[in-house]
Amino acid sequence: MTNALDVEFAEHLRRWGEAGSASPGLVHGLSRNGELAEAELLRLYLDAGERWVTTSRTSGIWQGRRCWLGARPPDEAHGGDLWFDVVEVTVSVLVPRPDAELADFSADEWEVMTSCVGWLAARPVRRWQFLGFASVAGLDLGREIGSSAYAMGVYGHWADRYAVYFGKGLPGWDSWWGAACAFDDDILDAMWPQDIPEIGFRVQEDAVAILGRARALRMNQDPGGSFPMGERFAITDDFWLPGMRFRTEVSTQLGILPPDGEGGCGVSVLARP
Amino acid sequence: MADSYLQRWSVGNVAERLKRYGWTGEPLHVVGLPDGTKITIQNVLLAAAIKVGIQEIPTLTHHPDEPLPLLMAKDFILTRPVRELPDGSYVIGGSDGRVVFRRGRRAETYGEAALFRTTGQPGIPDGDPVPFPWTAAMTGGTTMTGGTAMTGGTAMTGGADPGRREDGE
Repeated sequence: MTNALDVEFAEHLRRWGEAGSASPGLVHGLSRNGELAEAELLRLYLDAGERWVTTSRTSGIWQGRRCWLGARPPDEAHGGDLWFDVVEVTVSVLVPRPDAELADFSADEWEVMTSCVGWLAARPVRRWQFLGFASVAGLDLGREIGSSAYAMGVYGHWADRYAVYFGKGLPGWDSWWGAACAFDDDILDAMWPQDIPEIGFRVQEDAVAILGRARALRMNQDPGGSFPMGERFAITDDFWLPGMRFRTEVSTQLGILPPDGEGGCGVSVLARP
Repeated sequence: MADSYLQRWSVGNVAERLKRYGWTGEPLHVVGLPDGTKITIQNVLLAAAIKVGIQEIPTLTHHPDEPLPLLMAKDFILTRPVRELPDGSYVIGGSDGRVVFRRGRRAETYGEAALFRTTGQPGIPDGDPVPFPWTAAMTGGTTMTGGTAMTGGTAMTGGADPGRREDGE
């Protein structure tokens, strides 16, 4: 008898919260469900702990890159490096700031800003990840969360809770602007294959930005200018759109966020004890 | 910041909740500027309270230099740069002057949170002045001292500019 992947992921989160260790059973679950890159990277972590590895062909477009295995990002990394977060079971890429923007930095800005924007998840959150989190967090979903591989049509505040649980946030325009400047079209197409809107950062206390690929990836902007926002680009927490997906990000300016109160978002299991 | 339609819908929605349950949450976070102006960083809540006629709401006043908790900082991302003009005034976007706060920056203090949220409002044309008395003393925490003063209080909602600025308690 085998568990569904979301059940195994929930078990992984509980195990991590209690003992700070990844679940070996999840490796098999990931393999069975075609998540070969994640399965391989988690197995490598379980074999020898946190360290740098080079990604294999299971990582597809990311093959041959340096990848840090660990519960937190590495202390030192370069733009384009990968981080496999063994807690969220997600690969993120370090997005550098565009050269034109760095060249414009003042001495004051260098004290606050970093040469990279942040660790942007290489793909949106999968359905099994969100369902596993919802189980641990005790979220009453009340309906089906999409029928595809991705978690689709979640409320903004659910996406926010998911990200915060893992000590992360939802991406801003700056991440995609940096990614569009730094990475080839092949990579961008793999990260965000269709213009399906994604949930982004919070723009007011009860509303999140909706990021569209066409606008978010627009190039040749003035680095001292504004982000290419549309006239209407946000949605309140009470709404959800059927196809909308989301992904996580760790801003290098802020780093991994602390748990929100006891247990993180009111959840009894800590993601990163 | 969200567009005006969303803002109206949002305020109406929160107002309904306030009408039904009253003010049940934590105090409203406001930032006290050196000239006595107070600015809320929770525009929707304040506007909703005004809409339903709540006369007094509890507030928590933060010094502009007070560090913003990281969990809040993630929600205050600058979408338009803030520039300082040669005369020492500050403008949102535009192309003149020196960039003081670059787009993409996360707020690190309550003062920056108020500034960043304000600059995202689409109703403010590019190149317009920052709509409250922002001063160089509030950038980077270089000249303000004793930075974590917090005071409790209540705000009188009548007559405040909805959603943006609140003068006096």
